[in-house]
Amino acid sequence: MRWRQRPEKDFDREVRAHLDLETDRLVGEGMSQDEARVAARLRFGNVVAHKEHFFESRRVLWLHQARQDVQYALRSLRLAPGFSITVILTLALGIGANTALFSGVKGLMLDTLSIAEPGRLVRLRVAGENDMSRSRWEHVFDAAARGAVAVAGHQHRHDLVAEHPLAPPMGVGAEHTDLLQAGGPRQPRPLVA
Amino acid sequence: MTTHKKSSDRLVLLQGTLDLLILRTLLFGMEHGQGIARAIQQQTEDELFVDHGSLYPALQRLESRGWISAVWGTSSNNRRARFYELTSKGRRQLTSETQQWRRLVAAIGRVLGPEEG
Repeated sequence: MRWRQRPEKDFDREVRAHLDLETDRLVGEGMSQDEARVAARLRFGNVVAHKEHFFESRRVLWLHQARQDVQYALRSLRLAPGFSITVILTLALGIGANTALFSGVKGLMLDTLSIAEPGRLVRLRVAGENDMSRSRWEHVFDAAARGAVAVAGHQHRHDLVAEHPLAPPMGVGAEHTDLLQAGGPRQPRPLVA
Repeated sequence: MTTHKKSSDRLVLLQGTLDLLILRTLLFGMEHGQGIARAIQQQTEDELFVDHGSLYPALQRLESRGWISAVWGTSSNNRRARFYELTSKGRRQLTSETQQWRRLVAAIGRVLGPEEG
């Protein structure tokens, strides 16, 4: 669609020209100048309204219509309260459930822990043992520092398994043994968050 | 000159028919808004009540659709006026709208039946 922007002044000039021409014509029919001018204005109708129509037709009409649409929607909702309440409750529950679920998933799976290098955090356990005491752990760290314990890595599970030297080897991840050897038991790293 | 009928006796223009009347009037050549208003008034023998002002939004609409084009010029009595002219697209539009109008009138006429004496 070709849409030439036409300034308001141009439209004003056109309306004035129309009134002048119509006045001329009525004067030619025998009216006085003043009579003719009034008659021309009357015949033209509401100048301001037509001008508004002219500009509405190209500018803010969509805004006006959007407001009408919203008002119409609200009226319809008020006319059918049962339907409205059902819809609003459905939406509220749906959105609420989604938000709650996502908050949980975000905390569990997406957020990183607020510690220096969360990627290096591991869970340590000793093969074949559960519920180890702190002194038992210190014993394991000492043994690891001496190289007496092999540490097997399962990085993707954030799991390190300290093996008893007598247990069958599981393959030592070299990048993980330094965790135990360099730090040692006396300056514990944040093994447990 | 014209017999001025009471406005309540006048027919109100159907939506969309003003466009058709404007296009038809411009078939005879360039004309400014006041001239178009005059022509419609005369040819309908004052039966139709058209606010002269309501012509201009219609003219703007037709112009934006490319059915008419406009240019400022000088009228026969030496006044500046914006003259409108039918484009070839407008000419085609006039043809199809005229046909549609005739079909509509014929169809409604058949429903209403013969005029009562």
